[in-house]
Amino acid sequence: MQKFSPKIVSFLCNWCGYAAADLAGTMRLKYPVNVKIVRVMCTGRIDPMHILKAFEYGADGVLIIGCHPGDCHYLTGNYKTERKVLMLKSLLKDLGLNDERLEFNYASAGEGERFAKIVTDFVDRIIKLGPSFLKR
Amino acid sequence: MNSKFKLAIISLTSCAGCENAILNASPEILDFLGKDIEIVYAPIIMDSPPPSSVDIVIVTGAVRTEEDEKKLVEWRDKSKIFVSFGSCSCFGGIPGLANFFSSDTLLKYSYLKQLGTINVNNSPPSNGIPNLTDYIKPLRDYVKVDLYVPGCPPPNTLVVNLFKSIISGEKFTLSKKSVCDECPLNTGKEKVISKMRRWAFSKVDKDKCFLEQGFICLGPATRGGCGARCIKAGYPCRGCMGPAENCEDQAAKMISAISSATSIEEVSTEDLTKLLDLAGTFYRFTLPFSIFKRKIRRG
Repeated sequence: MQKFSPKIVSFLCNWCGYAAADLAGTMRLKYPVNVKIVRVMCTGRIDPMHILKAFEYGADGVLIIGCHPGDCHYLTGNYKTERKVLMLKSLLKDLGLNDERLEFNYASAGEGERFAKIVTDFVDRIIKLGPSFLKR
Repeated sequence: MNSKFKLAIISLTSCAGCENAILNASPEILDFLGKDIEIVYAPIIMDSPPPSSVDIVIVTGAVRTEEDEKKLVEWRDKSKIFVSFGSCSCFGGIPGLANFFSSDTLLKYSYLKQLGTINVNNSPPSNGIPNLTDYIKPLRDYVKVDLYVPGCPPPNTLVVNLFKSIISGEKFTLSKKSVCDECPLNTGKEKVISKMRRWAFSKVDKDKCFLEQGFICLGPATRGGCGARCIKAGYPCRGCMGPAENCEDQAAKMISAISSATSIEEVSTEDLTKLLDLAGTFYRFTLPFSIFKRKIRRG
């Protein structure tokens, strides 16, 4: 049997998450190739629609990485996303999708190792959960 | 045009509120009813044999049974202009919330478990009634729909505009604004929510934006055209007009609105996790029309 290889959409903020991913690359750290990275200027820019669409098109998980609380380049973007993700989790649970498939986490521009760890842990978790039932 | 438009009103699974809304659109409707437009078939209002063809058919209610499916296709063939009337037929409406459950669960609940039900056979009735469909879908998933008139029930101005545009041959359009644009409580300033409140347990100030007071009001995500009638009556918008222009999904828009309007210092994230039944609240009228459509796991 072929091993389940999840599809994960990852939204990274330009200033912290993406810089961390960049650093992880420069440091030649290993992390799973399942994440499809989308760079956004700020995690606050992500509309709940982007996340729902990702799931609707068959993503097994959505991972959002932004700046640490208080460090947002635009002051409050990451706080707002934290709220969006919380409410979305509650909505997804009502619709029958496991809310662990959606995660919001923090990594600063200097934390390449933390980024690799977040991604590895998330991919492991999704592999344990199996494919999303929304998958066509 | 000299001849009258022949109009049929067909009710699927509905509460008959939409038919009332049509008749209620007086006195303007008296200007053309009987003169330019003649009701030839409407089982809920009058007794007459079904005609072989009509010009306009107004369909109200959602498709819940196999009988509804057949009726729908039959009347699409018989009509020139097919109007999907009311939130149930446009988006699935309140009956659409039943998509959270399988039809088996629904039947068993209402025929066996519901309080006050005594069922001698101990099983849901099997003959003499049409079968339930698996899911509720909006009418546009079954047949080609020419005009949509949302609302629960559609507001008077929309009903009158619908008939006027059919008679004059002009294009019938819905409002492109949201309910907030029409709301008398909207001050135009940035909204800041400092505390989340629940309707039953808090004092309500009827002269201040409900969302700003912390009550859930679907105004930002809902299409206007109703003149904010619920808010004028002192009750927050429930979203019956469906998603606003350029908004695909009411829940996504509402989550976006609430998360950016809540004050970061005053409202904790815990307060937001305490909000109950987000899917039922945000998709109250539009669950079968939402982004996941029928792809929800059911109890």
